[in-house]
Amino acid sequence: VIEIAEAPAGETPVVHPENAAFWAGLADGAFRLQRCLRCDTVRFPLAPVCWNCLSPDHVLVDVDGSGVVAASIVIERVTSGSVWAQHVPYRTGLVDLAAGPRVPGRILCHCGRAARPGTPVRMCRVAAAEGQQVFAFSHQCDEQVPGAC
Amino acid sequence: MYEQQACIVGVGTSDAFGFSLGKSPLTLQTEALRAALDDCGLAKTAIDGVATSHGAPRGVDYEEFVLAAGLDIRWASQMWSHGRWAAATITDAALAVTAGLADCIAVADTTTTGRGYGRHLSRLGGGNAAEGLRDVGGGHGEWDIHGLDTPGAATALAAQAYMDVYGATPDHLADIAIAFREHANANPMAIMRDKKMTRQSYFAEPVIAGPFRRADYCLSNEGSVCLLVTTCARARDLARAPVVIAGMAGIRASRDDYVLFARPGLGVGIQRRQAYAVPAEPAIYAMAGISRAEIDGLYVYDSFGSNLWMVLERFGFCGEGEAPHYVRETGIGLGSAMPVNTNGGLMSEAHLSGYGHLVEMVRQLRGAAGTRQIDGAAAVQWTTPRGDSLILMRER
Repeated sequence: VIEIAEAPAGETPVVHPENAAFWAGLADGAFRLQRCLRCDTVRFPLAPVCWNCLSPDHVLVDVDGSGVVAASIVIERVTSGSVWAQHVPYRTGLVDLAAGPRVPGRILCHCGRAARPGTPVRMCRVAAAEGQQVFAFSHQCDEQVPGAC
Repeated sequence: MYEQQACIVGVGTSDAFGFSLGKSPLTLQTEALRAALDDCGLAKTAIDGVATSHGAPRGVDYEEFVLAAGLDIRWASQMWSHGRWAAATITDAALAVTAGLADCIAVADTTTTGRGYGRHLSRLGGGNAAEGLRDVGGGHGEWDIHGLDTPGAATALAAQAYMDVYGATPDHLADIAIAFREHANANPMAIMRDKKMTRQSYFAEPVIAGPFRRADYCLSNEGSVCLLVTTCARARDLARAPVVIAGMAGIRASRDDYVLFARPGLGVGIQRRQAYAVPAEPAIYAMAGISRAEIDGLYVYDSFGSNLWMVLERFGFCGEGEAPHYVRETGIGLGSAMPVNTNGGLMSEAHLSGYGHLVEMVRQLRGAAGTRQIDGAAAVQWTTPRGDSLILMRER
């Protein structure tokens, strides 16, 4: 089960009938992606058909949430009126999952090592508005560096 | 030799560009139309087509423009409210005049801001801020639910990935912002015409996202541009020598090539990280009948400074990962081997969705760019990191 991590609630996903099973799976603690029943391609992001063969037939399969940082940045200022303005500074970026897909997510790290590509991180769940959760990543920090995030 | 080719024969802008002009988008766009007609001596009755990418976040719809300006058109095209459509919109107009679907097309586009006139028009809707909430994320690589809620944040991530892979530094980003600001300082229309930027003042700015400081971002402002597109044959009796639309290339898109401000191979968004094969000579140069070496000035969709790195490698001006070095060694300023964004660009002239760059390109080819003039400018190129491009040329 993907652990729930403490982090300020961010923007909530748009849940609609065709993607509801993914978000329900996350609420149950699983990161479930679509696997094509025709060509076995596991796809991200969510889509109604397989990008490889256009088949709509798929099952949701549990994908392991361990991976490494592909790229990450710290957002220091948010100029839009979004909820994120309340949470700066925070780190976000892209993670290459060991299972294959590269996925975006906030990266919880207080030691600053997640700035480096290749740093191992693990998927977690964090709160979004309206009681939703989104997937994110956490770095297993072993030391505290003041000011880092 | 260009008789049947499309050309730009008149250019005009709103009376000013600014953060809050106190005028509606429609007022600004009619100012630009009048200026473009006056520029070449055409009467508005000659206009029989309108093309726009609608401006941003809310510009002017084509038929709103037609009704207000009293135009009578037989061809219209309205694309998407994003900056990426300048080349596509001009290309659409060029194809329409060469196919005989219209004789003279007003390509018009207007930007507004929420803190400017947009605050009076919020009930009209518009804008594209919610694209980052789509299941596939946003077209700039933004993902709102993950805190990448603006094109700037997403592009900062692309720039960081580039810097991680190729060892570029914030100093290399500063090279770009400082050069564009110097150009704006020589442009009386530029919003930042009186604001000098030094390396010291660049680094004194606070960081906003990743490696980006405020100076690495485009301006958010109001303004309008109108360009009149016709055929060279039709342009013969007009006041201005036509500027030929000699080369055109469309927007590229694929799963490895969709993030607006990253070239393929960087591994941003869902694109794969892989070596990037810099094209030897993209087809647009052959279409224009020239080589890349004959380009006298380069114009880049500089919503963010790092876009220039992407464009230089996308069009083969340098090899993979070499763009920051190219900028420093070859130079991008006036008097360098390849001046870039001599108007100051979106970062220092005004955000006009790229159409402001096109006006500058026309002025350069007319030899009318004042102290910003590129000596002997005969061929200039418009580019975005997405691979779309235009080559404008003087008639030979």
